[in-house]
Amino acid sequence: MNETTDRVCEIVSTIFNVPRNEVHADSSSKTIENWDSMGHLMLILELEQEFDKQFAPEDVEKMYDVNTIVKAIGA
Amino acid sequence: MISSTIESIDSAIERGEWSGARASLQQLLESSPTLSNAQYVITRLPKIQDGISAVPFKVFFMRSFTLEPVLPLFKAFAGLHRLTLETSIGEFNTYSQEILDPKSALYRCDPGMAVLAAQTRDLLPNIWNRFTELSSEDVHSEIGQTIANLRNLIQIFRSRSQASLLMHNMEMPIVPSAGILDSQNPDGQMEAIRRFNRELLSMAAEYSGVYILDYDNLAARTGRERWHDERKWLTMRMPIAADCLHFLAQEYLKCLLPITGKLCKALVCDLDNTLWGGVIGEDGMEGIRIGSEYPGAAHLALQRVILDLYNRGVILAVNSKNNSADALEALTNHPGMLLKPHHFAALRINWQDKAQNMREIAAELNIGIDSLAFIDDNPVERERIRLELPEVAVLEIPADPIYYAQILRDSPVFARLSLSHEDKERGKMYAEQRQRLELHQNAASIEDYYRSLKMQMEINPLSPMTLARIAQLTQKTNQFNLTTRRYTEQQLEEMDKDPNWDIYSFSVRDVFGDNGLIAVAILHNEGDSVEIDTLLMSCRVIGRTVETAIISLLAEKVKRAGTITLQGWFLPTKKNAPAETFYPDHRFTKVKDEESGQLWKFDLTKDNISFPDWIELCSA
Repeated sequence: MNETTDRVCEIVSTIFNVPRNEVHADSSSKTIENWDSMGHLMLILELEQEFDKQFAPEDVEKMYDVNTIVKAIGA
Repeated sequence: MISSTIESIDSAIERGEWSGARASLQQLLESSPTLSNAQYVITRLPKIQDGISAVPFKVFFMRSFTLEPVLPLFKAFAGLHRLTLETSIGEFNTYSQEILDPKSALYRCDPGMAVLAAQTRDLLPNIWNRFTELSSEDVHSEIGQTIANLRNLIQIFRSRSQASLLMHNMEMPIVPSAGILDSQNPDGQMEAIRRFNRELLSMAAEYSGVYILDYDNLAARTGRERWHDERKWLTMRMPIAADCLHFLAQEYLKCLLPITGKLCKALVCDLDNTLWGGVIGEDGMEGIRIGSEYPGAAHLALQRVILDLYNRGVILAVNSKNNSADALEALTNHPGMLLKPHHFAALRINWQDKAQNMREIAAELNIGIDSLAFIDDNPVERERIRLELPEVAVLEIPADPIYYAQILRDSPVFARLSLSHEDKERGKMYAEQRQRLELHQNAASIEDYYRSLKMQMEINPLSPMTLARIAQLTQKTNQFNLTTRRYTEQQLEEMDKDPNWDIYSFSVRDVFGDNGLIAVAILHNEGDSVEIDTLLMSCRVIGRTVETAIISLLAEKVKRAGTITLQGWFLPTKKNAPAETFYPDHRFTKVKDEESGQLWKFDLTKDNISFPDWIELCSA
């Protein structure tokens, strides 16, 4: 797991209050119960602050799993 | 968030180091108030079982924009002040329905506090969007109608809910629609919004429990450009930048603490390198830095803030490791000093443990340890207090004194939403109490002491001016209170209308100043006898024969009205031992002894209670 993935998993785990060891690169809104639309907004805000980045609205709509998030951060 | 911080907090919790873990959580959130840190604090706080329970409290948000991301921050900050928040949030722009419909989510939630978070663009859409097209009549009519609508909503809300209502005021645009021309125009867009805010403020002041959150100033404080996030507004209806959310959460907290009564009553101050720069015992009067020139100016700014707190009722005390004579000399005679010994209600200037001093200060002031806040430049002393007395609000300050004044001014623990006359005078009254005690210690006999106080007493029937204070005293007086019956303002008003009830208040002043309204008596006329339903006195004047003066006055009053016996119950509680011997001390005889208490009687035809000759009775 690379460093970005690790940091994203860390944030996903705290924002949605799931144990860190249950969050993986393929975790998504389907596997994490608290990941609803408001939770998603908070996740995006937190990621933007953490990675000092503004995501395009089109990307935000797709970033519902860790892999896609990591790609969006790298883009 | 740094995972090493998490690990160290989690292991402190596992080891049961509650105070340390709590302090680290606070530090984490204050130094980096992000959403994940907020979530982290929320999940860890319930695990800290230090025996001090948190109070649950419900807040309902009515709103015109996405407010959800503020809530975890608000909950985390409140949790650190031992308030467990349950928050509910209404739909976008549905606050009218929520207030008008008695079955709405708002009333079902039955909150302790409701927030109306609306934006200028929603409440004043024409002034915000189309200002250049409007005539000045249009502007006036939009302001007038919006205020009228809000007034109607507030009235309905007030009639249905006991909750406090907190309303955002309206923010200015970053750039007004006419640019710099707007600044030249007394009828411009900015002025229109200011006018609306002034009217909103006056209206809120007409209702009890309705308060204003100065949202405009909050945005201005960080800078409107930084505050507003246009992208988030357009895509998610969230106008506030992520790194500014915590400012709003902290502002909510400042309003919440006075509403829930989680307040600090006293500020305990260190002296060396806090109230002044340098160490008085080493640097001497000439060496310490306090005054209008830097670096003394930073400490003077702090003293200014402390004096402002004193002027709105915060009690001041000193807790310092020093030779008492040196420190008092500096406070009394240093020309740069703003705070003087007479501002402080308790002084602990000695070499003993500061935690022990804190306990003594609380005992001397007769307030709980959890009502104390502490400011000290020395992190070791702060840590000591935090570990030993976790109930004390320890202010976290950096090494550089330049920041002290601002941090204290911004601290939520002294936030107040209203101020009574008593509040304004409180700091002074407690400080005067210390001088009284000193006089007491110097007096040859107790009568000499009473005489030297030159007490003057006033008795008054209940009036609209004193109603709130009388209700407040029945609500919170625990020690000298014979029956501990609690009454609301409404109940007292009802009783006052009934000719069989008499409600009196007593005020006392003395050589050191005005003690204010300090006692209440409620009498019920039962034909030949009068029953003392309530007799209570603030602990401020205990031990000065004021209670004897009161009962003497009451006996005289009812005797003149033809009453034969004066009677009253003493109902013991855990806290009212100071009133236990009141009736026997004044030659009442016990006529009933029940589990709940004793009934005492005084035969006015056979005996009388003399008025202490050292108290002067004044007419109102």
